[in-house]
Amino acid sequence: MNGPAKVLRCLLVTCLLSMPLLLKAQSTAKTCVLQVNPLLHGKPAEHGLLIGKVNGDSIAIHTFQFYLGNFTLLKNGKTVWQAKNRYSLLDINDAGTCTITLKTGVAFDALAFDLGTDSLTNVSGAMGGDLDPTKGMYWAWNSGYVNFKLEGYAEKCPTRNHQFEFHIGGYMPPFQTVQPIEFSDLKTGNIQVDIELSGFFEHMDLAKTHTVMSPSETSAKLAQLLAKTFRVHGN
Amino acid sequence: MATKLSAAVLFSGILYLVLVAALPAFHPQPVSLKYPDSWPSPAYDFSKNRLTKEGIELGRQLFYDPVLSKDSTVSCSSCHLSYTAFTHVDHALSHGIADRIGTRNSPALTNLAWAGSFMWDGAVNHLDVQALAPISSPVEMDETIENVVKKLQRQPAYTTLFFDAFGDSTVTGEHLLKALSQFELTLISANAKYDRVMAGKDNFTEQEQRGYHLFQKNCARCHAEPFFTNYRFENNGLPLDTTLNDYGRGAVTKQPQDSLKFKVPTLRNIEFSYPYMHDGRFRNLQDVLNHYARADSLGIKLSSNEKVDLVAFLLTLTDRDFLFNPDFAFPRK
Ligand code: HEC
Ligand code: HEC
Repeated sequence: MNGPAKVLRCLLVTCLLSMPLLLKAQSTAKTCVLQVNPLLHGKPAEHGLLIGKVNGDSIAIHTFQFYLGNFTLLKNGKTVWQAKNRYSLLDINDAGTCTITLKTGVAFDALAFDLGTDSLTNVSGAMGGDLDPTKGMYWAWNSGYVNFKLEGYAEKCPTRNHQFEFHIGGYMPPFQTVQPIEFSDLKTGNIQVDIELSGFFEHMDLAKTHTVMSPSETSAKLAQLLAKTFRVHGN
Repeated sequence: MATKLSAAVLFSGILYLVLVAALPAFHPQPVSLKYPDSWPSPAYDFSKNRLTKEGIELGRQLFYDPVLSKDSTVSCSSCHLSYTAFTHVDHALSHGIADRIGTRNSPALTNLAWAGSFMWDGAVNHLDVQALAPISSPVEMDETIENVVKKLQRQPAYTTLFFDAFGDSTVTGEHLLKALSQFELTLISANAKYDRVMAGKDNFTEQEQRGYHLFQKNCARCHAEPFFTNYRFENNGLPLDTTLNDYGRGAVTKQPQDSLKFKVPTLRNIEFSYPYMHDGRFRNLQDVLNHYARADSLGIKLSSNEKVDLVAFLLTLTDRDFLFNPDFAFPRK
């Protein structure tokens, strides 16, 4: 084998050998894994449906999509890590989206994040990734993100096919819908967050409130209701 | 065995190098907006969408391409024609469009980089997301951005253009919208006779000069120079058209004090952007001035000579370099 070829070979071999090392160095970094579980009476979705009874009425949820973002880790009340400009769109019909891995490399005891998009995100023009308008979570006629979509059927709804449809968003005062959520006293980086949707439906009358599609006082209230259903379990 | 292995490694190495060399190069050419030194800096945040020759060209192709509509019949230029300052000439209410938008006259697209809100009622808060409204309007383009992206992805000519502009041949909603913005941001009208007079390169006639004074006294507080709009929402006294019931800004903010306020439109190229007002109710400038003279509107009383003078001034806002700029016209391939 001649000189230049030898050098090239050495180089290539070194590159190839160091690849796994590089990958490994990354995966040993400290991470926070957030597993989000949308539930109805403790049961996850089956075949894309969350089914159960709330206030004596049968309901079936077929669509539940929502943004989580502005993930922040804290230690002793101080911010130690922040994910800038990052939003994840979670979807009960796409299980993979409900696990969020944050590569942090720091020790922490509390996690804070937003349910929904903040006002800066709503006025900053076209965005990519999960915020891309092709994800179907952007209002065309009155600019702004839909922070969560919750749709399904309930016997009680006086609508066509007994459907309820909530597209909740809005960033302009007085109808802001983004909700800050914080979990403290965390012991491990594997965090199980349950969203018990019965808590959302128990506090409303689907016979009266069944279709909310634009920012209003009702959407602001529904956003608060949903935020209250987020709980950490077994941490 | 060892030689076989090293040969394999060597081979894959060479393959890798060849592939890298064969990848198309991404070298977009930066462009900076040209506008008079006396103007303020634009409101648009260019740090999130750097203007490039390739981005602008892609935006222009998209602006003129009916692929953005469901049955490929309507493009942005159907309602925004370059030769008429990008309005829908001679149409009071832009046709082919349903619901709300069917109740409005298409505005001129000029100097958009300085605007902070869009549409007659400001319902759209950023130029990038404006195009989502016409694309998804049921009777106009009747499309979804998801489907437009899919259609473009199937056209190799477009995937090349997207790569050249953004370094990624995967078409995304973000890049589509940013490209449209890039083209629209270049639609700058700054070379009317008015501009040349201000720059000391030309002179008003006596009549135009008288009209300019009348304008400054009566109109400039809303139609503020140099954009001929203060970009705010005002009520200029138009009575509600009860066949349309368009309350403008009030319907967006749901605040009673905003009822019947509309965004002050620019008066640049006003000679060509008739018919006038959000619903196109006036066919000529004489009708507009007669409206402003009414006691129950703004009560701006002008003699017939003064009206002629004021109109003479308004005609100095016609910018032929803008109207006939080949860079803005239909792209010949
Ligand atoms: C069928 C006619 C029609 C089509 C097609 C159309 N528009 Fe418009 N455009 C309008 C009307 C009408 C308005 C005013 C809407 C309102 O105020 O609610 C408008 C408003 C705008 C504005 C806001 C201008 C301002 O100063 O507020 C922009 C920018 C614009 N259009 C760009 C586009 C682009 C880009 C496309 C193609 C994706 C497009 N339009 C397609 C009729 C149309
Ligand atoms: C109080 C603020 C105000 C004043 C003063 C004012 N305007 Fe306007 N003007 C507006 C608003 C707001 C509109 C859009 C109204 C609508 O469509 O509902 C408008 C629309 C127009 C239009 C139609 C533009 C288009 O593209 O459709 C013309 C022309 C015009 N004004 C000229 C004038 C002239 C000339 C004067 C002075 C004599 C004047 N305006 C004074 C606020 C004002």
